[in-house]
Amino acid sequence: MAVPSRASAGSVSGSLDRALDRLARLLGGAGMAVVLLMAVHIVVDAMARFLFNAPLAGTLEIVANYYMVGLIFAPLALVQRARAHIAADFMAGLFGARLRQVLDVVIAMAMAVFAAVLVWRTSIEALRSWDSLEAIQTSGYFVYIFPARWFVPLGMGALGLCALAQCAASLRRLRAGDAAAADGAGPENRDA
Amino acid sequence: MPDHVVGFIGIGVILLLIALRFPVALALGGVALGGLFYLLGSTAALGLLGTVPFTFAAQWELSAIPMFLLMGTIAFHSGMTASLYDAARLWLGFLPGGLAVASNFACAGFAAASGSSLATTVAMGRISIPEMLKYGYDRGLATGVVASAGNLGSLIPPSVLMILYAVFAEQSVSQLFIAGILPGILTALIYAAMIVVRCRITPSLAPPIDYSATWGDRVRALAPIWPLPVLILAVIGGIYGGVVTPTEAGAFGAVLAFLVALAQGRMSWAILRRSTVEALEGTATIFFVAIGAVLLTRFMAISGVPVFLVDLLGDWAVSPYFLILGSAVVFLALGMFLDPIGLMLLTLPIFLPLYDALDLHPIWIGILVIKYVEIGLMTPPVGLNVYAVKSIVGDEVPLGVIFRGVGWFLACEAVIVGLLIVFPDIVLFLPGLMR
Repeated sequence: MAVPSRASAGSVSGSLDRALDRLARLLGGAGMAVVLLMAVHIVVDAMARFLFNAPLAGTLEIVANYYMVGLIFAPLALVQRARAHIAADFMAGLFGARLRQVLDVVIAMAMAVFAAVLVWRTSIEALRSWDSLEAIQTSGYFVYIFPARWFVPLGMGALGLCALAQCAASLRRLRAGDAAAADGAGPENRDA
Repeated sequence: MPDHVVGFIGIGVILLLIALRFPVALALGGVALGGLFYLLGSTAALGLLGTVPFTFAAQWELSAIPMFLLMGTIAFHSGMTASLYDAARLWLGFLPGGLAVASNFACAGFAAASGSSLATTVAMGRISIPEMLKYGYDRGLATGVVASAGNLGSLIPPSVLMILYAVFAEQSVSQLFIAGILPGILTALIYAAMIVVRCRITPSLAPPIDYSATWGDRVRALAPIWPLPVLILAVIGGIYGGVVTPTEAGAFGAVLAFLVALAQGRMSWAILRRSTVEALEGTATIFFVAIGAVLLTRFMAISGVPVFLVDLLGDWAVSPYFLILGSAVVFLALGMFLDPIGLMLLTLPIFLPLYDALDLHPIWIGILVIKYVEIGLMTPPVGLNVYAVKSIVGDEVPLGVIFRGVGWFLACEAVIVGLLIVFPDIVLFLPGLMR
């Protein structure tokens, strides 16, 4: 999962990269725990319903509002670091190496901006929900959902930081390519 | 500028960004946000952005996706599906083109445990294609059958595409799952018939294999794969009987697959970890795109593009068949370069209101849409399934040969889709029996 760091060890970007890697893995690990917990919770609820006619109250609400939101947003930083988003690669072969590098910078920057706007707006929603102690009534009791609202800005924030780091790395590579070209190293080295 | 023009410009920009390798989620979400900003102003647009991600993610119906992905990855990584091809080979090897027929049905079997076409193609292709090539099968046939039959992954339940369609079209996931069974079986049978007839006419396509399976061999071959049909029957039976919701069926399937693998000594921390990570990343990428698609749906609705198109259709007094075939053309054209999830989520916001306006049966049209999306996976220049097969065979088989092999299956698809359009009961019969 981890993308090997290009930055030299010990440098600022190297330690930043390691920190982001740790953050992404931490969130990914949390996501894994949530998926497994969700499967077990649903099965236990259904069994209790079949066998004892006593389902666990609030399963549906907890699955939807906590597990689902958690497992969707927690792994996004991992996905961003691995550049594993759903995308169409069919035209990539038509672009020159330099255009590809420029696009890498633009795409990572656009992703960071998109994530930033999302973090901003979903944080406002999360605060609003927090203030009103947002809850959902189930068959048995109230399920507070205001903490789960924070999963969205948290996951998107981690994704945004990873995108920003990738943008900086792509920019450095682009500059290095330009410097190499200016030294007469030739365009074929730009993609190195 | 009229609002619907803004909408059409938005669609154009999305396609351009996707062609430039922007992640589909970013293209859909970013452009939709920009369009809503322009049409509604910042307050409303940003307000939507704040609420949509949470409210979309927090849906019980969609929780079936991670559960079925988990069931599929556990069944695959624990090796439960690996013996599927061996068993199919022993039972079907006597037919002309027997190995290709066996690959076809092994894909159908894997599809019933997996919700994804690409996963089906890769999993079965790795086992069956080298075997067929070893026996001197025609390279186009050997690769084409897996690239095509892998598509059953989305048609035979469980199916991630069906869950997404159901949620966007506000239909029952269970009904859609059950509706996919007969078309899936029909597809596998027509593929098999085509292979047998071709290999009977041109025996050099599929040289005979040293085949001497006894009934004892055949029955013994079922031993390692028995958990799979049990798993499938439990999951589909539970949904069909209305005993469990699709999410519960998926969770049961995942836990059952885990327990069986554990009992057979095929489960380890590493396997559980790999299965979970794969299911998790699959879910996250799908939902990220889907959240973009929800924003696009709002943008389209407010821009009035669907209404504009509905009026246009009304002016032409078109028959439903025109829309069904017309949308097929759009799906095939876009399917040439988009992946199935991106393709479906990009087009549904535009097409669903049109289907609705002409009062087309939502379950029936849902199965047709899945078929269209799947056919897009088989067509050049970018049939993703074809590329998946190419990644398995490497330099041994050129891309052109695979596409030529797939051509025969595309011809079958024309027949199958024609049958589904003319006889909607193939789709609607089983769901009609439910409840």
